[in-house]
Amino acid sequence: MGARLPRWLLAIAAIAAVFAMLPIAGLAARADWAALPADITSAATAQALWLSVRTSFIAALACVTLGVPLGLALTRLRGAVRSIARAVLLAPLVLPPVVSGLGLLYALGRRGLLGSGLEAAGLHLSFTTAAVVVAQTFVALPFMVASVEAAATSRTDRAERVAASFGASPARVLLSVTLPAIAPGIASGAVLAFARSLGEFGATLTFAGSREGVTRTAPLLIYLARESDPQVAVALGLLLLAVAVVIVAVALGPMKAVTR
Amino acid sequence: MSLDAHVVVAGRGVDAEIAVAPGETLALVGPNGSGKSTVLEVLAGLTDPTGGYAAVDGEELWRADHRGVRVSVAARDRRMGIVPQDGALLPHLSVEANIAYSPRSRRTPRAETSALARDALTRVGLAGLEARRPASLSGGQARRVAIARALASEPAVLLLDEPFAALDVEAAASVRDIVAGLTGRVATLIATHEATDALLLADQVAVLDKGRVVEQGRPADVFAKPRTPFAAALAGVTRYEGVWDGRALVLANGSLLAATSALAPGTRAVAAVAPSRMRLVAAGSAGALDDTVVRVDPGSPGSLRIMGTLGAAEVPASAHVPQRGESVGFAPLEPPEAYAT
Repeated sequence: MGARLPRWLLAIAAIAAVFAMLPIAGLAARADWAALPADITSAATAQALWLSVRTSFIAALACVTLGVPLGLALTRLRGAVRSIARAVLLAPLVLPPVVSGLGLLYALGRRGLLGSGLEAAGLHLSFTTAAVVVAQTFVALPFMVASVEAAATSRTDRAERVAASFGASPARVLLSVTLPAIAPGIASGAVLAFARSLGEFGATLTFAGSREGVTRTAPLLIYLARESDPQVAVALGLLLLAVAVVIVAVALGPMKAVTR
Repeated sequence: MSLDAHVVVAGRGVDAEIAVAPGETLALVGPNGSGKSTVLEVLAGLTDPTGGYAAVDGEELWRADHRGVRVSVAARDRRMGIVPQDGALLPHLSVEANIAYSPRSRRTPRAETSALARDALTRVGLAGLEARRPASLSGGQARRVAIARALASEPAVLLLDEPFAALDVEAAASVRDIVAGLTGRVATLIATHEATDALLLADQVAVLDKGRVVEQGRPADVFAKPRTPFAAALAGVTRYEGVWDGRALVLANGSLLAATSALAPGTRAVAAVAPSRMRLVAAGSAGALDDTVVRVDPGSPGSLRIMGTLGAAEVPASAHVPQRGESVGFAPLEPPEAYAT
């Protein structure tokens, strides 16, 4: 353990902790605990939750597929080019999700940059379940890229060079040396991407809409139900909260191993 | 196969030319930081050179100039079997998979690579450890697995980086036996800070000082008659520099060191004597070199090394130990040969 912290700092920390947990307390206080099981398992809730889990899982897989190569390629850039490339690629982290959704709409929507081409090819993306996955992947990808880049830059390429000296092709070096070495970073990136996808709201609403059973994920249902049926919104909110706590607890384990 | 190389790494002050004849062993000897590991790492492709070239059997591997490195043979096709000091085994692979890494990379069928790996593991005396992970190996075992991996790669040149360093006496001895059994078959480069390794294992030695080869030749010649103070220090011998007068070497302070030589009288010459081959006698004794004690160091086990301004001798720790500033005489057990440098 570290050196002892001053009391006043601990007092501020206590205030911060209360502040951080206040909304949880608020939800818990408002919840109708007796009706909770029924609320969570009602058809609409179960449908939204299942859609969220399915799309988030696919989005997390897409983030692994796209984010690992992107994160590794980023480590090959140098200096200002790398800083700029990283800033652009990680922008969705701080971009309002609604803006991300708008961007996706104007890029891939029916009258978007590529949308008309996709449309001609018979691919209708906007306002489909696929659009939910695209929105989630877009906002969650930076977590994977940042995680992979951090894991890759924290080590040297010595093991890779030794492997190459023993005749390994670049692909074999990647599979047998680099990926196993950065696996903890990939795992934590994937879990964070899943968690971010699960909570995705703004980009999904803008790009995919809120079609029941098609694009209405749990966060969208919560927003919709907050006036008509607040009890359901609170129940579903608590459930997402529980899922988030479990995910972050799991994700930060391997992340510690990477940053050590 | 033979190796010719001129390794230049500007950032590390390395500029060393080396040559290894087919089946011979060259020891690169120098202290830590002299650049011997860098030379090996450049040859294996672990470090990028900034100048020079390398060729195996006359076929150029790479050549570097101010514009960069022009690679004729990619690192993966050079067949440089390196044994890095830290082993650099892949932690998530079994010992067998680590050893079979190179044959697998070259698309040898799995059934064959398994037999190859077992064979290499037997050669380093570790049969039975196939399934172990590198983390569960001792330092000596890991070093031997790294040697087995290099052997299984059927190298054109074997590169051993400080193969006996950082091992306990027993482990070092077993690795030494293994290396002694390997030399003579494949062109081998051994980086070491011990002159004795070169004497025991190498056909040729190149002494490295601050990245440059300052002396090279047969180990017995280089270390018995070191031309530079640096090589003398590595060999653990004292260098007596003076003028050969026909019967003795006349040193800078005018005292005489009895010696033999075929040189013409009046030639500048050097004689090298290990402190253990010098006796400590009373100042002014006939045939002894008169000197003053500067320091007393630990010597070989059980003895102390009496250091003078010019000479050094080892005495049993139980003997009378002269104090600093005391006048003493150093007398060689047998007259050394004075040679020109």
